Amino acid sequence: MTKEFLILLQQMKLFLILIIAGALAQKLKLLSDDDIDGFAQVNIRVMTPIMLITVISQGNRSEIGRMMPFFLCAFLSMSISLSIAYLSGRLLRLKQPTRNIHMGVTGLGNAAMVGYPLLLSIFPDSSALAIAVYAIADSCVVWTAVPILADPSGKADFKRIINPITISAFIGVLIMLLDIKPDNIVWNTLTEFGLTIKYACLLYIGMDISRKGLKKILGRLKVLSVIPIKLIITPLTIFFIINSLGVLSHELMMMISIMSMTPSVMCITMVARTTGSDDNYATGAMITTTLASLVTIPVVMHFIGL
Amino acid sequence: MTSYFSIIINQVLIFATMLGVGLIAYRIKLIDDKTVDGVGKVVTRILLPFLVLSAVASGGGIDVILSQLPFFICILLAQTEQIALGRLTGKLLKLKGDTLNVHTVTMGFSNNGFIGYPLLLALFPEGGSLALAVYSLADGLSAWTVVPYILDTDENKKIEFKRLLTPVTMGTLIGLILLILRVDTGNIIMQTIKSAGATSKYFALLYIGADIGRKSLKTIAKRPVILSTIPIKLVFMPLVVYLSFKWLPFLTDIQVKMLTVISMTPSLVAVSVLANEYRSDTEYASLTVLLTSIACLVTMPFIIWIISNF
Repeated sequence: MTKEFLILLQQMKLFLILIIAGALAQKLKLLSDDDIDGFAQVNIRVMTPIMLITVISQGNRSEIGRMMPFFLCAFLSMSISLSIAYLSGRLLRLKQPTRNIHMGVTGLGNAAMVGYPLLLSIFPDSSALAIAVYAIADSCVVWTAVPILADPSGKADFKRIINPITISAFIGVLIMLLDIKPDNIVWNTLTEFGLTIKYACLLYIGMDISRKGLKKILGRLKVLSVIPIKLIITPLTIFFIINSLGVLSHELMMMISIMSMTPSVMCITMVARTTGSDDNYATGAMITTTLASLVTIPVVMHFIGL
Repeated sequence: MTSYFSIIINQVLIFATMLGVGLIAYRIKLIDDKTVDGVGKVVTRILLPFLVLSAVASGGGIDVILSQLPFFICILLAQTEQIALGRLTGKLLKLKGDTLNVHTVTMGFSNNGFIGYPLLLALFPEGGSLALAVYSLADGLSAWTVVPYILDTDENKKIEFKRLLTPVTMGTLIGLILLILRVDTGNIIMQTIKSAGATSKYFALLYIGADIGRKSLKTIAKRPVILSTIPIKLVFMPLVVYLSFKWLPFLTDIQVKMLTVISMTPSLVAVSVLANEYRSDTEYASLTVLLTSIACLVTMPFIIWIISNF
């Protein structure tokens, strides 16, 4: 086993412990729904942007040109993922609005809360630029697709592409391009704070899974189909297609593979609820893929040669 | 001691950075009141219990904990001393009724969880963890019985022992059980709990910063007496604690410094919440917490410098 794979296994155990801790805290009623929502806001609006700025700015500007293929491959990866999601929705004969929700939860991954913390843990020295590039591509695709898929009469919400995550990714890239390498206690504090993101995000995921409950899955067994499609078929297809192009290094190929096998995006459950779409399906997919990914990520990564 | 001074300066800069993050995030509306409250509860109900649990469980054995009994008693004595001085200074300031009670507890109880424990771990990497374990036992006993009792405005008030069942005291208890059972703390579960607990420092300070952001300082103009809490809590109290325990033969120099470090931290945040619950003088409580949380950034290095040189 490679060093990276062993780190991945260790991270999966850590993820599981934190998810259980978060779920227990919710079950013991230590936190209300408002508290959990509030904690999610601080993760997405404060911690993730700080993590992105401090991590991306550590990147080497001479390598930015080298990232263009990765940027295009990120879009390609998401396009493949959405295409498979669309086809599988048709094959499963899902009706609207469930089919659109299926496409969202099967086609889009949880980059911020699972993907970036994983990349930072496995590739601490080389993931900065990849995260920057992926964050920009991911925000563009997610905020174009989610409003359309979650709302039958919805339109792409381009305004939401400009959000704390994309702004911070741009700031990080700007600092990197200007070759500013801050090394003082304020910056180091922000860096350390940003790197604690996995603890906060996974505790939140555990709380969220616990409050939504497994009942939503038991009533909708079709939602289980998302597991093999999102977590196995899609990442393997993406790996074989992009790898065959031969444009990415082994390390970047591994990074894009990890991003493709993250569990379903979380924001679609919130948007689906507000628009009156099939939010139960979205929630069930989010819960099942998050739990199943703890097993599928190491298995699939081992299969493709991490 | 020079190294203590440089460590405290570093810690103050870390504190100021995180307070700034919380303050700015709230002021530019990245986070709202719901978020601030959520973060506060995650700290007090999950992260801090994790920090205490891992510190107690890795205490080194029950015999090591028992050897800290004199220190444990001195922590309770130091708290009693500060409560008495809080009462006395309140009377000298001619405070009455609920305000006097609030003054007493804000002067008598420090913000151990959010500021004190991270400071202990940073200043005393060797014994800080053990001190944290002992402190969490003593503080769990006193803070959650005495503070509600003093703030309670009911004439038939009594000590509510059920308040002792907080997540932090439960964390302490679980840590003690693990310690007695000699459970290995090197496994991934305990290491994850420890690492998650260590993040409490950042979230606690972010919470305080955001809390400062949402409170107004305008009321201080109407009640300038609140300004007196800064020199009393942040300068007078730690110096009195240092001078009164310095002479005790059964305490080590490090333990005296630990007592001083905890007593120089700002007022206990929970006082403003409890004051509200008991319909006491909430304004005095929240402004004292606010002011001491800001002013401690200046006074803490000053106190460390004083005890380093005298």
